[in-house]
Amino acid sequence: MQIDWFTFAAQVVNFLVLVWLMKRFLYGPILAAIAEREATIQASIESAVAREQAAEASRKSFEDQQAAMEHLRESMRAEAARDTEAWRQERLQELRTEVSQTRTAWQATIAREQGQFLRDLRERTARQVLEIARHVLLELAECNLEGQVIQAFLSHLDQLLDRQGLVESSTQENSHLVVRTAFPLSAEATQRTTDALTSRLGNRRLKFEVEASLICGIELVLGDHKLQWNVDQYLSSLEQSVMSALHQPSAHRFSPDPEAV
Amino acid sequence: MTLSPDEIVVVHLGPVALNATVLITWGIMLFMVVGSWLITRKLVSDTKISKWQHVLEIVVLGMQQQIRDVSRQNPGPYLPFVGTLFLFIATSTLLSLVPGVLPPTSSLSTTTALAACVFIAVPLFGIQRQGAAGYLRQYMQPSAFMLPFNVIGELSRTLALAVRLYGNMMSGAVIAAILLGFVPLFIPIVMQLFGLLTGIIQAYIFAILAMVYIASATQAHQRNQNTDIAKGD
Repeated sequence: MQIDWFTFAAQVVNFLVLVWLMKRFLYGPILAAIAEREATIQASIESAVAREQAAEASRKSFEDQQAAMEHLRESMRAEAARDTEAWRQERLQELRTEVSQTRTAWQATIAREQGQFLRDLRERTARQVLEIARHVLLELAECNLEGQVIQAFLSHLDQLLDRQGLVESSTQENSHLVVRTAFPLSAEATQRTTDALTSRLGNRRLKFEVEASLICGIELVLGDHKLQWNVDQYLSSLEQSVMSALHQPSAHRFSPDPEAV
Repeated sequence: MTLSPDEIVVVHLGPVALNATVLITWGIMLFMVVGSWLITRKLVSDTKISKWQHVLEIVVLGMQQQIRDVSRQNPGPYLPFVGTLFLFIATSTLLSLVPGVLPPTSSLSTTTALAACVFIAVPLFGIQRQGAAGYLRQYMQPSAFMLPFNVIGELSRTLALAVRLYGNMMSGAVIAAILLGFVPLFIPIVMQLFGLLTGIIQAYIFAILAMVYIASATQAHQRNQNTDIAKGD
């Protein structure tokens, strides 16, 4: 057990050299690699944290947008429902009004058409009846009523002349007389009419004419005056009566019932 | 029976006789440097690293952490010195497993050289840390009368450091050799394993004690600084 001083010195030098070599080949590279790796890991962690924060922000933003979209969708849905309901009510009201107007117009048209039809029917019926009556009376007048008509005219002649005051006025005028009949007068009837007129109005110039429109009647024209007797007035009165009688029940029967609408 | 590799002279280079201690130390140095170079030449800073790089990183980081725990300072300036002490002694211990090879740490010259390195390094780190005056002032604490005792304590702990390592290394090798003569089977293997364990422990103790000495020389300055700051408040 003794110290070899040469060995001592050599070992000191060896150790110091070893320290330098180990620092050069071991500690330096290892610590540098560790530091570099730590920096890389730290950068990765920071990057991951940044990405995580960004992802979290994106997620929150997305959730906010989703909530906003949901809220907007709900509000739009509610608004659409309100609009739809309002539109439906409006359309229903319009349809009701339109249907009511259409029904009213239709019923008015129906009533008008029915009234027109019945009116036409009544008028045609009345005219046909009257036409038939006219034909019947015309045929009767041609057969044996001619004389009766002349007789009736002459029998009413004094009454007509007095009522109109034609006797006084006719005596002052030197006008001619015109006798119109719906049928040609026979000689006997012509003579009887001439005699009757001459006896009442004096001797005047007489003229006989045939006028078919005077249905079953006779007309005396004296200057500006005209005396007429025929059954056309009766027929017109009859027609008015029939029409008024027919209008009464139809107005009651076909008038539109407001309660039924 | 050869107790020290210093006595084995391998080659004479003129007046210089190279003994086994120096040659084996060179071999160990070559092994450590080449091994480190082979591993660290392909270092990667990626997360996928080789297993050898992993082992070296564990060792270096472990030593760094131990230094930090002992000194409570940044381990950067002390790692090469203290770490190399541990690695050299541990590698020498591992070398004792090779039959017929004596570890250089079983040489009192080597352990004394390592202790001397510590003896020199402590004031150097202390002076670097707190200046020559500040460091030397420690020897007169708490009073100037303590100067001789502090110097004796400095020398004795260096001596203890050298002898402790030498004794443990030498005794392990001697006991293994003696048992090999008495019980040639099994027991020497067990003793070798014990020797390996005690060798690793001695490497750890040597490095830790060196660090404690260095830390005591540097932390005194730190305590003084803290005291000054407290007084200033």
